[in-house]
Amino acid sequence: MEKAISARSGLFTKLMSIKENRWIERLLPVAILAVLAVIFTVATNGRFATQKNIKIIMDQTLIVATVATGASFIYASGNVNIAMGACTALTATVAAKVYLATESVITMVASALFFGVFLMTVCALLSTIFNVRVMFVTIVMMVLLANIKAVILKGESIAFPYELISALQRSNISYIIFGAYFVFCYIIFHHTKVGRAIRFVGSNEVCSEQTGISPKKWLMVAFLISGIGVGLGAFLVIIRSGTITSSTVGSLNMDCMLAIVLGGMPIYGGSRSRSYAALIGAMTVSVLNNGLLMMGVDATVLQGVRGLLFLILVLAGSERPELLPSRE
Amino acid sequence: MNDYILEARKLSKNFGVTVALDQVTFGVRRGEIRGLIGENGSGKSTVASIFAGMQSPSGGEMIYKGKPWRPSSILEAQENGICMIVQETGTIPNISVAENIFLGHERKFTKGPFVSRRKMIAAANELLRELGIEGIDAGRPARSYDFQTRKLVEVAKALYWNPDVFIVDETTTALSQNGRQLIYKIMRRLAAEGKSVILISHDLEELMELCDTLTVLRDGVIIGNLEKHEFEANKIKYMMVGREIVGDYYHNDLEGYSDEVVLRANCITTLKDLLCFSLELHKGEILGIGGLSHCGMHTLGRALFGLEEILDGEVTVGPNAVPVKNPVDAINNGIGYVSKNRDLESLCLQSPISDNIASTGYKANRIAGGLISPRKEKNYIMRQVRNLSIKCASIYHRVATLSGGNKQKVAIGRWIAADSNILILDCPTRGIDVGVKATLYKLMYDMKKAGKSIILISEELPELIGMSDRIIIMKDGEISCEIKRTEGFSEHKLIEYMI
Repeated sequence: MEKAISARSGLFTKLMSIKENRWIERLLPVAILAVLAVIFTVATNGRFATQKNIKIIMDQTLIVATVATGASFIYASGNVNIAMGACTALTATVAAKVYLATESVITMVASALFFGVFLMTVCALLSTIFNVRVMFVTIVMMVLLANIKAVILKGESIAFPYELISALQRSNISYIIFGAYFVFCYIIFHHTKVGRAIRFVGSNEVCSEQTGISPKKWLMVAFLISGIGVGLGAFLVIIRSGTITSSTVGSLNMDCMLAIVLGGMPIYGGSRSRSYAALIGAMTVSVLNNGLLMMGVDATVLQGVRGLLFLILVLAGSERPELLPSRE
Repeated sequence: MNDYILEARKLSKNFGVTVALDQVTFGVRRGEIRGLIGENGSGKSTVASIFAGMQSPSGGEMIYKGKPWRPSSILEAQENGICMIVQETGTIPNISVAENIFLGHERKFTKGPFVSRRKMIAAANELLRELGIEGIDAGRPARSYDFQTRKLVEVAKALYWNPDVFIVDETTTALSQNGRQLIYKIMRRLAAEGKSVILISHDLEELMELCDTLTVLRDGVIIGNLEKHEFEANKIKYMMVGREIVGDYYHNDLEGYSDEVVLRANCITTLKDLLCFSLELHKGEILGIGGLSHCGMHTLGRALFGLEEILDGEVTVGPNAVPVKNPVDAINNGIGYVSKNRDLESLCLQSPISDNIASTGYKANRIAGGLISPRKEKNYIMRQVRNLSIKCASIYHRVATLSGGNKQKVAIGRWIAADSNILILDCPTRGIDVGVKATLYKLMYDMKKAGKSIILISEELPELIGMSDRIIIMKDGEISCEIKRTEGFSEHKLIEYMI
């Protein structure tokens, strides 16, 4: 009995020390990604690892990674935005309409950026002015924006000229856009006051306030940066699909949330948040989606698997409240 | 055959590589009040929390009422007669006082599938009345009461179980004089009834007066057990810290301070507590603010830092009378603030030590293009870790893994790192051992000598008397007396003005 309890307690101590180890914490998501890739390669007799399939996975990764990288600022501040998908979808729809009116790609990109930032600003203002938690604001926004999109589309779809989309796809501009945004976010997140302040707010709002770091101000900044991601993500959606329909990026929201937690970011934000978690997570989500589909798993089952995975990760990653006394 | 009700035999506890308890062996007799004393991080709370089922030991065994004891939860310990009041808040803010008291035992008040809230509140009110705890409505949410009152709710919660072993962990320092007297009375009554009390406190006088025996811990090891007739303050301090700390670690010069006013409250009125309150803080001054817990001194500290809405009057800083309307104004003008509620307000417990200290230095550590220099930032952090001797395995470990004293060093170190000229310290030595206390007092004195100014809000009169150049005693949100060090402080006189 004594030995069994000592062994259990020893295991717990080991697990705790693993949790405290920041290198293990950082490398674990990469390890999960690698393990999944190996499993799917073996399970599909190598079909998973072909050049063509890897290109597909990378293309799928880009949209989720762009939007999720921006969203990581909001998550780091201790808030959950569940309207990222709806904002991106509506922004893509509006940008498509702008293109149809102007036939200018530059104007379309500018409008996507403007509209993405605008939508995120509205979310942030509603939350900060009325003191409503971001999650509740974004639930309302998610429904509202989906309906606005439906009204704009009127049950039809918007198709872009094949030549334009084909040229954009061949130009690798998607990779360039994502790369630039990723580097921008990485620097802001990890090497400036902005990222540090946002993470500090996510760790403890009261303490932040008493350190002169205004939670409302930095939440607004987080939304503005993520708004750029929404705008760019919307443009990448257009490049990838060439058509905007009522179901465009329907699963983006779930993919973003899953990517963020799979990448190793705490769902409740704070100091342990990392911007690059979104990229690793987005790759893992794409690998998972692609691999399971190649293995013949039904799309409906796939949704269930992703939901279950999200639940497990959130439960595993959440910090228990510090009810125990200090270590004296 | 001994008369121990509860024993620890070679009890050990490890947190990762940190050894919190190393083969601790001692017993608690029936009908005794046993004090546990030691520096922060010595293992006092750890051993108590293992007794109370909050965590399991890594090794060793416990014997309770002659049988092996290994509780799997707090509830199991409570049901078997071991109850503990923890150091920090142990109540849930958004449920009622009654629900807090009977948490986990709602079945006692069920009628079919429903819990009778009315019966539960009535039972809680009755319990509070029996214990002599006044001014609490058990139907109101716990959050509507202050820290001290919530502590008394925890006392009631523990005593409901009529415990055979009642563990009080560093609770008394959070209580006012009345609250302390109440809990002392309860402890003495329990001991007289043949029950046992384990009292963890850093207040040596309190322990020496109340306890029958004392167990001294250092670095997770028992240094000695003392019977009442062996109690001697300097000897106990020596056992605790392993070096000589002779009684007086306060400063005793009469050097005074400059005439230059660095912070001024000009007839400020806040939403609660303060009505046209004025004070001046001078350069190089330690200004002590004392009074009973509800006198408004904590609100004053917050108001001076811009955390309380000021309805009338203003707080200004410096010779140019720059107004302080919010914490950003305060910080930009060199003011730092450490809250009484350290864990919830002054620290991000789940963040690394590094992030906590660096949070006041974003501007100072900036280089070209708004980027923060990792090298400058690390130096900024390491300077405080070294100067304040913060005991930590790594600056990247969470603050939650530190002991109370080291947490407080981090909370204060943030402002020292920012080179604050004015520090507002609200109960800075609450729950801190004598060794860290001495370090903090020296730090305050060194700051004063360097021309910095400190507002020391404290419920400990000896601390105020020992450290302040001037003391303001508050009562009902107003100044009831103001005495300079040169006029001579008298504890008796100050208490008269407090009550």
